[in-house]
Amino acid sequence: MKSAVATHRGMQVLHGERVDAYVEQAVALLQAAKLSAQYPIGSVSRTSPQGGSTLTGYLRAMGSRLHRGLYPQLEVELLSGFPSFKEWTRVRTDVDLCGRVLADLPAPEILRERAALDAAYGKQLLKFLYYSELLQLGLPPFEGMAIRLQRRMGDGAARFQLVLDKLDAVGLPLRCTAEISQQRSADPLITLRGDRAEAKRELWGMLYRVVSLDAELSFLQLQSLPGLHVHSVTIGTVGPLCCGSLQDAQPLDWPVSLCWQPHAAVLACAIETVQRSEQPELDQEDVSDRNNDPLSSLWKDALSAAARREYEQARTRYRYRIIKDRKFVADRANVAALKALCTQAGTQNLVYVVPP
Amino acid sequence: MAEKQKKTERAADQDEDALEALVNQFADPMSFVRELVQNSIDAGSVEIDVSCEWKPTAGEVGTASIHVDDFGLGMDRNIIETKLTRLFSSDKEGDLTKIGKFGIGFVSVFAIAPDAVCVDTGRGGESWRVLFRRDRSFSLIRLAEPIEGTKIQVIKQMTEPEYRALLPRVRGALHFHCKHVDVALRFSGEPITEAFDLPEALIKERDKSDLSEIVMGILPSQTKPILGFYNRGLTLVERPSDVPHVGCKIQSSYLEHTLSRDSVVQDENYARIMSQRERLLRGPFLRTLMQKLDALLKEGAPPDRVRPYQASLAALVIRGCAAPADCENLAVATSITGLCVCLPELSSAAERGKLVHARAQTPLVDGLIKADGCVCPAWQAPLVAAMYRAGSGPWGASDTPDEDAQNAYAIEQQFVLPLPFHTSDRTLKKRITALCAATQKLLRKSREKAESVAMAQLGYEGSSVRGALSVVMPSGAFSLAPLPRGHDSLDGTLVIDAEHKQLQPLLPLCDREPELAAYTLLKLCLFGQMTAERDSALLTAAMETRWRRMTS
Amino acid sequence: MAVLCSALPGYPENMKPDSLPSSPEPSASPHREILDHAVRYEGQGLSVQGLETLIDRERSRQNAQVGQLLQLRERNTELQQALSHELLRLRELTEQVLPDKKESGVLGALAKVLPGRRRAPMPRASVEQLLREQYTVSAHRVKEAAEFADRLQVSERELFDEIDGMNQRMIESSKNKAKAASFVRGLMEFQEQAAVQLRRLPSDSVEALQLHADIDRSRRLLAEHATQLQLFHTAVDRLGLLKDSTRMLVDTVAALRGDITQYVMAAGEKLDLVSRQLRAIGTAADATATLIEMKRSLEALNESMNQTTRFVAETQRYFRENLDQLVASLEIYDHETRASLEVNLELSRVADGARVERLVQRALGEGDDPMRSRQHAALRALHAGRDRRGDVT
Repeated sequence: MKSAVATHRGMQVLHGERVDAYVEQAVALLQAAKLSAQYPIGSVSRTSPQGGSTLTGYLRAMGSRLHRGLYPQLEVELLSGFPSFKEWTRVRTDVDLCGRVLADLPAPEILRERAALDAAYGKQLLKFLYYSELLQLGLPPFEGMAIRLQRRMGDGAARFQLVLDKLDAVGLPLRCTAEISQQRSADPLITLRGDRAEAKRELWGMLYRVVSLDAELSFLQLQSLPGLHVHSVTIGTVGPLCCGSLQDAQPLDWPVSLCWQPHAAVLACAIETVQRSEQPELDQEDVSDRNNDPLSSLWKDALSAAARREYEQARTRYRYRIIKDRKFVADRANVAALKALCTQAGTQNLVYVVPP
Repeated sequence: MAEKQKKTERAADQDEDALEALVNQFADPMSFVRELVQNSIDAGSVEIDVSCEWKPTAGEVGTASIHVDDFGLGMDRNIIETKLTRLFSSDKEGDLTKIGKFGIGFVSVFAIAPDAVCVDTGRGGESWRVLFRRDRSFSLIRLAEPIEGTKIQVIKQMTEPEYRALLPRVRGALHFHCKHVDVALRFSGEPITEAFDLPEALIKERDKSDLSEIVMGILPSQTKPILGFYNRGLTLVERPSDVPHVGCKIQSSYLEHTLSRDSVVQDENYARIMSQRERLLRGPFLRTLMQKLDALLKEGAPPDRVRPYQASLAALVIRGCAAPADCENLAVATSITGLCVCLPELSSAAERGKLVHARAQTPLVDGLIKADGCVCPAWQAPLVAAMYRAGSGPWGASDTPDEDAQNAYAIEQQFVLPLPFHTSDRTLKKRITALCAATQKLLRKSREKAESVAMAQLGYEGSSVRGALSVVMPSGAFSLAPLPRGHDSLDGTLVIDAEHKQLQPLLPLCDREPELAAYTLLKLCLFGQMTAERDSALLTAAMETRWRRMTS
Repeated sequence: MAVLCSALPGYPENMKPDSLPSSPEPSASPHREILDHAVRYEGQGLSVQGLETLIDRERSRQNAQVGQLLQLRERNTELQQALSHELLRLRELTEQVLPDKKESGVLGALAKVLPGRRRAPMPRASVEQLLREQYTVSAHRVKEAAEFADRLQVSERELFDEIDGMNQRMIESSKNKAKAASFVRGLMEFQEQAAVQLRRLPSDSVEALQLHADIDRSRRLLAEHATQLQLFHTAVDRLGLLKDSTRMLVDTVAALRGDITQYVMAAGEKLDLVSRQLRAIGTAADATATLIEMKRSLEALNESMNQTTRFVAETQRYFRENLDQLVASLEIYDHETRASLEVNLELSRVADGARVERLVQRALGEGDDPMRSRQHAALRALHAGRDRRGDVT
């Protein structure tokens, strides 16, 4: 299995203008990526012409245009090109506290009057401005889990949709959407009160743990849970992201030579779906795997002969297909290189161009 | 064989009819945009771009196209063949996480009789073009370039003026059907969607539960209040509100269109949602409304500012809503003297039949206030009228008391108060006394029921019987009494307006011919109720009395 | 009279009331010009109501600050409860870290689903997830504390502004007190001289009647300005006490801020460490490395929680020992101030000679005031409490 992320380990700490340049580039890439609900986008701004999601909201809150220099630096994971877990948590904590902090602050006119004379008031004024804007953004937690009843199927069985948003260990935001049915059971993993579904912590724990692997393994792991029948598992991953403002050297170890300048920006977004074939009459083409990801291969190709036999048994038993896809967003200078990468891999991938 | 052939043809005709019905399932052909937006949302797209363009071809006619582009899951060949191009094949039916149900939405694009419909879509690395022709037959073409989501073009030949007329219809349909969707929906780049809210509301309350989200508020008088039902932000129905000035929006994934899309299915869930709305209306909303009303009345706000709140309260009162316990002492109206009045006080006055409205503070108003009545200024007539109909709901347009109903509770329609007549003119005084005595005598003689006759002022400013010559008071000449509805019976005191112009010629006549004056007066008083027998009895009594006076 | 003057509280020896007519000899005829003399007080002047408003305003500002501290105490109590719960969870987490002998990776996943293979027990909750949740909770606490420290800094500034304002009012009141005292003294001298003169005159003479009229006018002026004198005297005294307690509040706030800042820095460092280890847990491929990192994270989180626990416990102790006492002393102060103002109000309503006499004696005399002694005692106790806290920290 090839890896999309690569050799550069560690983090980079950005300061001053570089933070804002990075935030601006990252937000522009995300906005151009046209992310669907299969990605961890959170809620979407309906009134802004450009859209704007929870992801972009968090990134904006990390820039000094929003926090007014209250935070001197930004820690970015080089493997993903996204800010570290610590930074996301920082914004989340600020969101949680902003209502209370604003209520405790002196009146804004007092702060404005005294800010020029006293640094303590100056800092409070900046906080007032930052927290006020943050409150308006209304950002939900960046990690979260939700379960919804899709339909009751009679005899106590029901079909559910589980959605888990998570920040990967290296900072890649991802969303796992699993559709599962549960048969009536004495000790069910999912309980229903009215139409409100609730999943046991064990189920969420399992999903949280396996989602960092890949959709197929997640599918198999979930299928191993008693009383569950997995219909599909989709994992949408945003990133890796790399942009000129992040560092001088090209950060990704992709089999392509990117044109690296300060304004260069590339974002890759992948979707993997494992879907059980519910219609036995479909012909072979309809159930065969499809990999349209130039940066990743199916891991069955790397299995030993022994493991492959077991694997084939599992495939026969569960009749599922794997679909992998990836799209890119890049500055104009890097489009050709990315297209060449796709041609070389024999895939057809979208490459959106980020506006200069 | 021929019969079998006919059967087949008949079945084909029936299928064609059913399809036609589905194509034209909506009253507004432009409603197809809602169906496409709905499909895009169900496909997980959080951005939807709608746009139109027109390209000239030959002569005046050009090619207009309506584009609906999403970035959702898209379709592969299997989905195209088993879902998109097959009616009633949707697997969304019964799925609570989806809005679409029946698998008949897409076909509505044919309602505008397009020349072609082009669907470009891609999923998992395969990209397809489905090209529907005018007769709804289609071709499936594999595309070389990758496509994300689904891009639909509805193509139709038309002239430029026709195209210009089409644009606002598309925009209007989007705005009406999709204004609260939870995605970024744009028309020619401009956002269409708005928050699920009543932004212009003067006050509002919200309630959110597993079942539904409700926002209701009082709207300014220039805004027409609606009661709207939505599912995931898509408009199901918007109809005029059943509570004056109160707009209400209800959003729930349990709300469903009927198949004809012109109403909401009124099932068990609908009933539960409406109960939730009722609880919000009677509880938090009524409390907020009463608190606001109290604040406005106490700060002396002008009638125009108070009116919408009071009118809404009036409707809630008619519906049978009682003030929450902690709001019983809040002011909901003012008396004509400027005192604040709370709901229980209004209710008690109405129960006693002593709640009215008046245009000005008159002796009649003072009389009712002295008699423990409650008089509100005339602009508060809707609330006054509502108090008499409290609890008589059901909801409906009739919940607003109409103008006649409001006028019925004007003080001059309910009460009468003759004022004592004073004069320093001795002659006049003497004549009046004489005329009263003569009239009383005549009444007694003619066996009318009247207890007594009195002269009073009836024509003062604000009097309920201004212009009338007389009134029959059931109890006492100068006390407040319910307004009598005629002189059928003179059971009580006959009170005559001493300043009435019809009385003036009778006063000097009374010096010489008191019986004649009294008879004439009674005839004037009983105008309309005078029968031949009554007249004859009165005249006979007058003549007899006169003869006795002359002969004694 | 000279003795009286020097005994005036706050009346400087070298400050002669130049604007008044010079004191005449007792035998000389009384200088009635004093009756037409208009006394101009500095600032906005002071009425009984005005003084009450002034003190009330200062008190309510102080109350707001104390209120915030009380809120912090409540928050602290909540925090302590949450902490005991969280420490329990940390122990649970430690149990989660105990290794399970399981096949990992692809074969592990296949093992669970293939027929004939032993089904593994239901997996536990994700340790990474639990650690992240715990990290978020701790980060929340630290941030909350940091915000509070910033807010306390502004509170300190506000309290210093209050002290500045009070000093200004005290100086102003002290000057006015001197002016009022000088005028009252002049009036009393006039009354003495007029009484001597009156004895010399026939009781029904025009001069005697005029002198009676002047004495009556002087009584009125005396009643009026004696009240002013008392008010300015009270103002200086009350503002002094108020200033002392405000200063003490500043000390309290500063000490708290110092503690919180220290905690924020220490806990922040630990959290930084945890965030790096969390990353390592997520990326570590081999189980041993993961376990080591998890163990380290738990230790750091434990340490961070311990920092929080220590901070909370100490702050709580400090609050218990000092805040109640501070509030109690402010309440005593409040009660006494009101009592004094009520006396003054009564005096301003009924200005008979005897009452005025008592009032003037009280204002001009500096005798022991039991009320003030009680307030000073309360403040001393509070200072002692603060010193004790110094030992604790």
